[in-house]
Amino acid sequence: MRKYTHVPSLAAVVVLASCGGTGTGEPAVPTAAIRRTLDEPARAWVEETLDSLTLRERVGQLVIEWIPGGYVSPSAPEFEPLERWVVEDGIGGVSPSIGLPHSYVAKLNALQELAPVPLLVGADFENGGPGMRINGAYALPSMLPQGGGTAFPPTMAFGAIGDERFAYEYGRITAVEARAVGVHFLFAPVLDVNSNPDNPVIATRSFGADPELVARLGAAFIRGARDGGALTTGKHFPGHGDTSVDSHVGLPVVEADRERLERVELLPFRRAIAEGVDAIMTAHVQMPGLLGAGSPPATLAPEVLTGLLREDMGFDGLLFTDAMTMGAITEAFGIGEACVRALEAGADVLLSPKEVPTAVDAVVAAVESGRLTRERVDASVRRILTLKARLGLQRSRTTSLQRVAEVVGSGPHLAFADSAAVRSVTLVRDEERQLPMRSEAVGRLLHIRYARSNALWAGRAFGAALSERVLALRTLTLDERSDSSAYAEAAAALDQADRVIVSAYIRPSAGSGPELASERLRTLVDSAVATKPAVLISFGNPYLLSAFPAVGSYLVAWGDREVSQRAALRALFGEEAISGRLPIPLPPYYDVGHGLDRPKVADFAPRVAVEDPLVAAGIADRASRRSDAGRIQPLAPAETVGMSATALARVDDLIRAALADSAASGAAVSVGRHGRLVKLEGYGELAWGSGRPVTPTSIFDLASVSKVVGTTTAAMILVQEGRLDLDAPVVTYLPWWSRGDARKEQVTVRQLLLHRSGLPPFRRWFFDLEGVQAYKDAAADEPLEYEPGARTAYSDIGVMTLAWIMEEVTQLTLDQFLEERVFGPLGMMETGYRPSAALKARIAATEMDTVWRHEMVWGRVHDENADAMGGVAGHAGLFSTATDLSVFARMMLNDGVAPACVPGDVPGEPCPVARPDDVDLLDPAVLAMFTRRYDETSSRALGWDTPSERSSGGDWVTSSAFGHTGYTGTSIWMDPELDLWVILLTNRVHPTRDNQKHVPLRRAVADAAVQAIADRPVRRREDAR
Amino acid sequence: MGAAFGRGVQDHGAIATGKHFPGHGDTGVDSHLELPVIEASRQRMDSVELRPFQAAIDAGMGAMMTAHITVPAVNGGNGDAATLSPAVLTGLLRGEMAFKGLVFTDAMDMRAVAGRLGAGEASVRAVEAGADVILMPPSVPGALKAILDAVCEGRIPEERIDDAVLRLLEAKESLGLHEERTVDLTEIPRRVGTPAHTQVADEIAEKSLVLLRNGNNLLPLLGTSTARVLSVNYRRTSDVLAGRYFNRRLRQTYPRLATVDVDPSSLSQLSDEVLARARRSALVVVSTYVTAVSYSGSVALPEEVSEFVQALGDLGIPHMVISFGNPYLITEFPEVQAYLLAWSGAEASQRAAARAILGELEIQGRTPTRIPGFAEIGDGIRLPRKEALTGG
Repeated sequence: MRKYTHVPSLAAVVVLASCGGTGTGEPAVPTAAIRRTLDEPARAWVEETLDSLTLRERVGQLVIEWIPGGYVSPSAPEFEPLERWVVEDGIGGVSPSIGLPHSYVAKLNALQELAPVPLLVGADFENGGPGMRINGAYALPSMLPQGGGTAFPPTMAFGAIGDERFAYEYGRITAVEARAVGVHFLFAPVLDVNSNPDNPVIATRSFGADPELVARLGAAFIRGARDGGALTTGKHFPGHGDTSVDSHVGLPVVEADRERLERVELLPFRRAIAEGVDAIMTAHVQMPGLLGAGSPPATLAPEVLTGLLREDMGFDGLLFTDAMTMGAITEAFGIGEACVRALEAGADVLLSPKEVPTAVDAVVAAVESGRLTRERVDASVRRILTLKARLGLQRSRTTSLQRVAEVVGSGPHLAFADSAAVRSVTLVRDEERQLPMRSEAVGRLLHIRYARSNALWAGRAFGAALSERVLALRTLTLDERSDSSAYAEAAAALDQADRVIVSAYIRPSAGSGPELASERLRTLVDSAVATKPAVLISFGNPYLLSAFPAVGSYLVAWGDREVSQRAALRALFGEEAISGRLPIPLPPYYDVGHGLDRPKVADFAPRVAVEDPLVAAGIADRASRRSDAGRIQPLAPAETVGMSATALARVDDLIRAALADSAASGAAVSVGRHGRLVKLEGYGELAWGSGRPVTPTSIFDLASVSKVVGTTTAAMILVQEGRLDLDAPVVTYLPWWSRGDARKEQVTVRQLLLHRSGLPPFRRWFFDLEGVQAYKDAAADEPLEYEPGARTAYSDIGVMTLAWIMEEVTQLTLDQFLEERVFGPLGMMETGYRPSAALKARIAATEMDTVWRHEMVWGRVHDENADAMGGVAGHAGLFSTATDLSVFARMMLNDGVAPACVPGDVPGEPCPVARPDDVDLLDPAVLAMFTRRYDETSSRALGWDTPSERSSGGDWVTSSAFGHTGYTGTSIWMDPELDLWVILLTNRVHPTRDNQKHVPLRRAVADAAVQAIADRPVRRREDAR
Repeated sequence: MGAAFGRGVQDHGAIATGKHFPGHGDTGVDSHLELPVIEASRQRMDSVELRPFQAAIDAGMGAMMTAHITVPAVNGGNGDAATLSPAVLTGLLRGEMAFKGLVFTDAMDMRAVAGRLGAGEASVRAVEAGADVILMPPSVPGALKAILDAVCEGRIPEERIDDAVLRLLEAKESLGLHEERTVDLTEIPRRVGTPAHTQVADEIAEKSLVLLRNGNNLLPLLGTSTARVLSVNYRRTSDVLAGRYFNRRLRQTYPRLATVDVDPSSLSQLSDEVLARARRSALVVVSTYVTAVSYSGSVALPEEVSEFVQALGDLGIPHMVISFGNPYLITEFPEVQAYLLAWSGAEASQRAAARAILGELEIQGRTPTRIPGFAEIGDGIRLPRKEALTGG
């Protein structure tokens, strides 16, 4: 089966573009001016245009029709209906839906060029500003965001900030971006007072539940939008806040009488009219309190539009109906009759009647029958033409495509949206003062994310930022399709956690009661709350607390977009102050204005730089845990090499139990016998909470296992080639090394390998030194601690020195030599020093270094001295996988020969890549010499170690065995007599070295492997008894 | 075919890139992860792998992209990736095959080259070997510095650099970039996604459909509007458009169409819930949206899906599988009743497949690839349109 398809890349652009590149400064952004009054030529244009239109064309001007906002070529069939509306029906304007900035401009320009009279363009840049319409496109299936206009948090977030300056800027930026994409009219601000928590249609689109707050911020928004160059629309008159029916579906009822309307609903509209709002949009609501029972919806009521709005409140601007296709209207009357009634009632514009010719015909018929007067129609047409003239559309009706990118989604706009989101975050409850959290004190964090399965962006930014700050993080995603097993998994994860964050992406319009969350979710959260410190974050519905009344901490982020996700995260960790105030009550607990303050306590310092290029590019799917790769290495059945599969299974149990006990976040094991792999397995995850599973090809920092697999192997090769003399003094190769110290001049190569040189174990040079030369100088200056050969003391500096000797002999760096002579020929392609950053997604994390590097060490060598030397050192620095090390062990137990192989050909033959011929690496005599215990004064062989009491190889390998361990939690053991190898790679230093649980695990795994041998007696070693 | 594609591209103002030289077809390893070995002899390479490249060169292909594979037959088994091999790039491509155009490396962050040598050294070797453009080095400054150092040390002759730069400048000149380097935004709607273009895409999607099996002449479907039809889509979690256009068309014919979306996190439902619904259905259409994905190292179908298909057969439920991607999936459910290849999950392919199984289109494609044990190159059941069948 073919497994490879190249994904075309933008690479050429990347490289070529980076060579040139001209900087452009921040361009001046002109704001399109709107005239307050018309000059003589403009007035003349209005009258001349009106005169030139037939009745049918005049009625056409009253229609603003909804159009898709996406890209389409004007020659494509999808463009035809739009063209018909504009050219044949002569509609007055269009209202584009969701699209991208450039697609808006291209389409609107094309339509403007076709239109007999310039089009008035209005759009719902309302809840979240431009983000509601021209940002939010993702390329599927990889979910790469396509960018767009500035996405603000929802309008209610500005209510939580409560500051008019923010509302003003929200309006201004929205207007500037709207004009830049060809939109003249904002169908904003929403002036509804959201006094009914069960309101399914307004909710967080409103500034809040306090009439004065809504009035104040609404007026500020209008000022800002006017200064930004766009027309504004207050909606939904006379107030849509106190309903519990969605008018998109049915006809909602607002019970309020006139007195209550004056006190609550009308206040923001009066203020907006005083502020000079350009238009008001009516609501499809029934108003029995005002109009009596059984009256028509407000949109169609002359008492409301003409009597109340025009006459009582003195509004002289443009009057929109809400969309005429909304169920509340069409069901009752049919589209034509509804349009006639709306005009009769006093509306100027028929918004989105959809069946445009039907609507126009009905209105024309009503004029011809005398039901509507021509004057009535002309008055409305004149209002529309006047607005077009105020915008200067008679002179210039298109928008520059070139200028879009200078304005839309600009750096300053995004920065403001970020700061608004931060300021809006509201801490409603925090009984145990969990906030701000400190990432080092969070412990094991369980993050439960609940979102609908189609809300693909939910949690993207929050989850990524959380994993940068919390090491021991586990994230579980639940949605409406999650079954009982998913909840059972969450409940089990709960037991393992020290703390829980529940982020809920539940629609703001879904209501306000316990029914906001499913029974299952409530049960899960209730049990979390009862047993662990828990924080509930609402990314959407602010009333969520009523579904989880017992939760100890409740944070409201208002919106579900990335901007709110980032803000919530920063608030959570004290990287920003929390200062939001509830603009709505949360009965029975909290009133309007409630909100806890928290200071800013920290600057963001990433704990872990989680760059997962695969996940980021959408190539790997973190959720489905398919991030790792590599061909499957087939195993040999244990029985074919004289082992018991059941007994061997104990290795799994041991490792799983140890990981459950936090011995490491992950482990990989390889067991082989008679040259055949019988176990090759990964367990756990690469870093706590990373969600990235360990596999047999996961890459581990080998630490001191480098000394044997790397440095010692190089030494064996040079000895067998006669290029390295074990008994030659070090100074014959490195004359500078003794600095004239007579004792150091005696130290031999053999003593370095046996750790009998007299050198100390290691020095904390990394605090002061950097680079190989500095280390060589320091080693030369370092005095011996004891007479060479007198005793055995494990020394990093000795092996470091050995590597320098070999570099001198070969004139190659250690990594070059090993790659050329060992890892390359053996096909150990995943083995080497200094792994590339691109591999990070496959590397196990090591320690949170709080002392020197101040970062989570992940993908760079854990050993500080090796790191300070640049990553390549004799004593540490090698990275490898369980799969690759299996090849190495196979070679070592086969007299230094790795036989020719084809991947997958022979089950159990370690063969990640083909070896075309036998690789004859080591002379059996040299191999035996290096791996045999040197003498009885210590357990050491040349470079290698052999079993002793409490050996890391366990109690059951024979005395012929040899092996080594690494500080990071790695080990490799080979037993020639049993013809068995056991490799265990863990990241036990993750996130801290203060953990010794890997020590018994190592021994137990080795013992279990030996005990699984079934074709010969095995027994505990003498020295172990 | 490749040469024709290249002519089509280059006759209309863009440069075509033949890839992945000297041939990446015969490998089971994803070179994003490791270095595959092409064991073919030189003779076999001449007759198979190199033939399309030579034809493309003869047709004037403007650029070639190298493969991160090693070809012992050309480089003498020294293990060099073709991208880094003078024998392959200079000796074979430039010399024997007389290629004069631009040589791109494949992405240099791919494991097969980056992992072995380190990114800087790999870039130097690629230039030494004869590449003109280093594509996507993990670090741009790193690659530039390494190459510059190699020139300063005399490892790479300056002429080699000049040679590459000259070729690049010539390519830019041939595109007219020296006169106009930006594009006119206002031209986009006139040129991109025009009906003439989408029509060609539709036609290709329709003509490329390959029917490899049609047990009991299941296709074309009768289209009885009362039939209970179950459409099961297997797709990646985020691939939410998979099945959308296909099901939409099918529902026009079968108003009672039931649909199930299965992704890697919801496979368990196949063996009970979905199978139970399948038992109540007159027909089950299984659509698999499995495409080869770089870095994943796998194009596999979860066994739950293949077991589901096998179960449909065992239960005698009329069924078919449409592969919107990997054509080899049939090997996972060898007894499937009907098997149609639609090649991709694109909207055009989804629509074409739906119309084809309903008999609105003639199915006429022939598989261009061998599926061992199931199909030879050129296989494909020709199925006339239903009207033609009934004479109506």
